[in-house]
Amino acid sequence: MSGRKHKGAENIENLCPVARKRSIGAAAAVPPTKTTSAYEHTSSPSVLTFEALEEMGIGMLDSEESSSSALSAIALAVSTTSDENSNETTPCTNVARMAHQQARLSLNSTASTLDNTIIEVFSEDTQERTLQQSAEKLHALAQAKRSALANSECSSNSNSPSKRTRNPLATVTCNNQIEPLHAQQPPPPPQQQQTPLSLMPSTSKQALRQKKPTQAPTASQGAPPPPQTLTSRLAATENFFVYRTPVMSAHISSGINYFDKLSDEILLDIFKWLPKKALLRIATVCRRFNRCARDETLWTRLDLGLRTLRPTALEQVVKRGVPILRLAQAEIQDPAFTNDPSFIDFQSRLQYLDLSLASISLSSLRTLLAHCRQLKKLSLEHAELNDEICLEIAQNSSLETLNLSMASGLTANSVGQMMESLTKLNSLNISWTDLSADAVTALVTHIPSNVIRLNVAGCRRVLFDIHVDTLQKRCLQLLELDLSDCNSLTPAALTSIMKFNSLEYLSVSRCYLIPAASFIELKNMTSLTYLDIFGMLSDAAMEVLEKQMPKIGINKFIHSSVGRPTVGTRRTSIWGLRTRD
Amino acid sequence: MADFLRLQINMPSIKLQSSDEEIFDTNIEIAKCSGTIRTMLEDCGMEDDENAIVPLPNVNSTILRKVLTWATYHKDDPQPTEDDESKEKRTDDITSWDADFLKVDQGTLFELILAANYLDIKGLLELTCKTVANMIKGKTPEDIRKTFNIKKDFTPAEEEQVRKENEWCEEK
Repeated sequence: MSGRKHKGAENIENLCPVARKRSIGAAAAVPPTKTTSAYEHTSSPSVLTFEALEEMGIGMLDSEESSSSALSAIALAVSTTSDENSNETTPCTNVARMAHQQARLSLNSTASTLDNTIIEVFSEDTQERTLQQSAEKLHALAQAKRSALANSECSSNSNSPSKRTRNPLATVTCNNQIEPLHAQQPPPPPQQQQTPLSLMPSTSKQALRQKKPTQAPTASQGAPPPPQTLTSRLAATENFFVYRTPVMSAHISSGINYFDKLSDEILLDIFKWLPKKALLRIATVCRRFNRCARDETLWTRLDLGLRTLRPTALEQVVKRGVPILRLAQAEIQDPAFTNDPSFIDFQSRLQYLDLSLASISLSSLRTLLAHCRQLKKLSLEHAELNDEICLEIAQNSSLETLNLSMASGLTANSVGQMMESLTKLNSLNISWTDLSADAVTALVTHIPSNVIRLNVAGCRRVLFDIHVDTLQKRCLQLLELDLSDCNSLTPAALTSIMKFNSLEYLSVSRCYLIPAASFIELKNMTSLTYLDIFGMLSDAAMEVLEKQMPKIGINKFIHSSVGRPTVGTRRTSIWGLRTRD
Repeated sequence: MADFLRLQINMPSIKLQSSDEEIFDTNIEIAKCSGTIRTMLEDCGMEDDENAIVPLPNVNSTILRKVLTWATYHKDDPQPTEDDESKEKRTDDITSWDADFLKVDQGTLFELILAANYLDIKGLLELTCKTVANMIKGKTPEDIRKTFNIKKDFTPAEEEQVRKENEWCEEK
């Protein structure tokens, strides 16, 4: 555990500027993530007409829209009331339509005055956005419109379904706050006793009045003969009670799901602003959210560093199609994968995978890598490996960067296999992996010739001058070479090293068999910019060397950055690619 | 009627017609924040014709008025870049003007999304989508269903399955 902490602290200063410069250049090539959505369809410039909106009852701040919303509210109310009449045979959709049309006709006369009042009510209400309040608004609107409807219907003599007489038991209410109003209401005009207001059981009008005493009178003034009939009728019915079936209350409490009007493409436009945690949470809202929240366009980068992954969570992560995944220091609980047969042939889109210091079982790691064939950069720092895992790594023929620093379980066989197959490899960190002499031989004889950065530090008694010579003959373009703690090397190795024409960075720290004086020869390497020889020279000798090699920066970097996904304090990017949105 | 949208007297204007047949005399530069209108003008060579009417059958006058109000306020904004990938996804960067502008009921907000999408106004689409995202953020699934009147259409078995598939990490 302390090793982990230590590692984090170390990384701060360890990035060679050469490497930094180049790695930025490389990072500029953002992975070709697929941005087209599986859910895209052509309906995006939506064909939502005004009529359609009206049907659906979309409420607006504007006079026309608010009236349409009120109309629909009426339609809704009528449909619910007819619903509840057990003798009612008319399909409620028809009733709604009829009421809708009816209301439209009859409202023409009063619409102009009424709309003004609605706007007033609305504009005050818009500040409050809780669901309850908006539901109340709807009821208030519906109520106001109903009054108008009822009023105009008195004269229109129409055949509206709202005129049907109803069982008083079927009276529906949205709340019980009617008592205080009874006394306030004047007795009803006799001719309105028979008005069709029996269909309007809701007392939300009263609720509105109670909440907004200043607004409510205005609303009632809008409809010239005020809708006292309702309240008076209620006042007359002393034994008023609530009767509400589940179906009805669903109608009443559920407004419109506006997401239904959006295409999946727009839904994704919204979802893309959500953090990953929220994406996981909204999947359980409904089927459509679940489907869209999995869309791979939303999962282009994911940082689960330091997290504890539940069993089988990794399979879900892989299934999302994430190309850039950080699992550094994550604890991945077994089993990471299910035996789901549909997953066996699944090929992940993973391209950049950071498993540095992650805790994962051999079998889970093998299954994970068995699904990866498109990896470009992979970090398995401090991972436990075996030949089978290395075989899976070897099958990612586009792999460019491989960090196996401090990994265990590498053999001559697996190293050779990887080096032979990974022909695109250009950065390899295989430091401190406790390689055998055979493994080192396999490494330098098969290493792809396009490798430009190599860290083989820590091969204490297994890496010899002959290996450096072989390496030099294979990797002519090498820019960065870390041979620190390969303390079997002698000055003969320096002779081979000096044949690298492009080498900019060299570390031979703690290669104690190389005498201090030999380093002076390195000043003839025109390409060399940085030389790390920690633990080799006294301060006085260092001063002499610095004078001899004024153009070369000596002992500037304690640690190598070769192949490492994160360097310094930048923890939200791997290999220069962001892992967070 | 919509004269407030004509900022400068001499700016060329075009007429936009909403679905409910209201005409909006609009500064051409402001109208061009809409990719759809821009394309229409370019493809039909309508730019020089003062009396040309651009029909917008998918946008009603209320929403079009709001859209034009937004476009007028944001007329000097730089064009949003196409490069979606490199941009950080922040939703806490909504200006107070925009926040006030979007203090509307849900219906209007979603209508604005549809209009911004239809008219291809990237800035407005982004703003409205961010606003809805902010309404979703931090809410439990049940809260989300309540807020947006969404019906839970999972069978209990499905719901359990989906819940399992989306519980990845141990909560800290």
